[in-house]
Amino acid sequence: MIIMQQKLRILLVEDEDHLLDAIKLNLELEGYKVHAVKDGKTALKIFKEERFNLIILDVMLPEMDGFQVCETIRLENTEVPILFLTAKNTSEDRVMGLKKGADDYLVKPFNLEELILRVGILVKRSMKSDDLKELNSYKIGDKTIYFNSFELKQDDGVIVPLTKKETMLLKLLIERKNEAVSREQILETVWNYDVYPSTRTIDNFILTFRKYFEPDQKNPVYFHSIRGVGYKFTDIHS
Amino acid sequence: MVMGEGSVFLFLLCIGAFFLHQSIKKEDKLREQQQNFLLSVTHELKSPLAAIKLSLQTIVKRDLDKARQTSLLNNSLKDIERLDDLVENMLLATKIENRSYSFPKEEFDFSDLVSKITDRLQVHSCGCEQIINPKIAPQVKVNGDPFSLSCVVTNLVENAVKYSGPCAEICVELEMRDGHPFLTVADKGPGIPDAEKMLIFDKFYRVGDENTRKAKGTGLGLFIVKEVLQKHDADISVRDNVPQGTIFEVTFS
Repeated sequence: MIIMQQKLRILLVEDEDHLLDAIKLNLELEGYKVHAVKDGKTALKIFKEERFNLIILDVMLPEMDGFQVCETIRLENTEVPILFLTAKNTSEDRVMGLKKGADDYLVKPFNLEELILRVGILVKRSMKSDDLKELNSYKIGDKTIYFNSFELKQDDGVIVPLTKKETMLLKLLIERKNEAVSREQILETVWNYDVYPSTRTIDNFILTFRKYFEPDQKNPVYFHSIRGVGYKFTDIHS
Repeated sequence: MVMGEGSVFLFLLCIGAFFLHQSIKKEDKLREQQQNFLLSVTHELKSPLAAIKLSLQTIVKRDLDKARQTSLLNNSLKDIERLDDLVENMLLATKIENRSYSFPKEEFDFSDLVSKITDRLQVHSCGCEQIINPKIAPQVKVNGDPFSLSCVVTNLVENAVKYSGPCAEICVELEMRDGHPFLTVADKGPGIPDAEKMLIFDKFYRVGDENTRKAKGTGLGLFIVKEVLQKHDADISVRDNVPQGTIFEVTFS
């Protein structure tokens, strides 16, 4: 569990120094990587530059309040869980927070144990259920992908080695077959939040897959580009 | 005749409507300020409480080294002082409002009081060795209430610290000018727009929007400052600092 959590990144937005320090310390002790900022505008800037598994947001913030930050994030990203951590405790405030797109709302002063549990639940929900499933191999046409050994076996017995990223992207698309998977989801899952490659990089991977699997690369039947969204895998044999 | 009476009636009606409109506007403004006060008090009370609770729970739950424990405890002590100041301000403002505070006056060493306050607030500063630069003439005596005047000085200096940039210098000067005690608190913060200079002494008045304000507070501090100084026949004025910031000047009679 600890190994899994070390990869998980949290954006913490809180303008009270002492509270920020104490929350950051606790989340780091739980194994999360925390990026802490003190105002709304910086939070948005950092959110655009990096990938996160959870955002913890105060409401009363300098420059731009937490509700606005949440609303702006939701315009581009509906997936990342957002937890409001605020002194505003009326039911109107809670309703407003949830309407703006938050997943959870915790009122100050809160219990440490409760914060950690809620963070854990939200982060777990954010992780693709696919990560928890075990898919060992998959057959596309006359070729079989072996995910654990990073190999592609042709029907003539020739084995083509796959890179780790190729394998991960194949796994993601196959597990979501017949669904459009956004570039953002691909970046989150395959590039693991750390590096932000250009979208051309993903295009190149898809071209490689077409070379491997498509009978006619110009008219793909397995790997489709969905304009403005991302990519979709369809299996004509299933 | 009828025209004359009619226009007088219309004139009176217009004046009445104007005053009614003014009064409704004033009421709305007051309601908005009270709403802001509730919001800011909620934030000012709950934030330090949340930090103290979390720090103590962290110490109980985790196996921390001594340095980390000390840092969490020191932060909690500062938060408790902040809560104490807030409660003092709220109590004093309430007592001033319902006239239950008598301002017991005595002659005391104002220099000593100002020095103690600047020393105490220096500790709160951003980690720099010194951000408050005190120039305090010795033995300046004032006939007044030491408790409420200490609230005045604390509020003025704390405001200056709060609205200044990190580590920006704040000047606190006390001297005798024309035979009267004269206190100056000057900061290099963003300054106060001219239109708001007279409003800042109103109860609950705060510059800007409560949800997105950089410096937190309740809007009680300068109200207390004005009321206490009035009870001491002292004047307060506010002007711009050069190149930027604000200077508060207090003259005792």
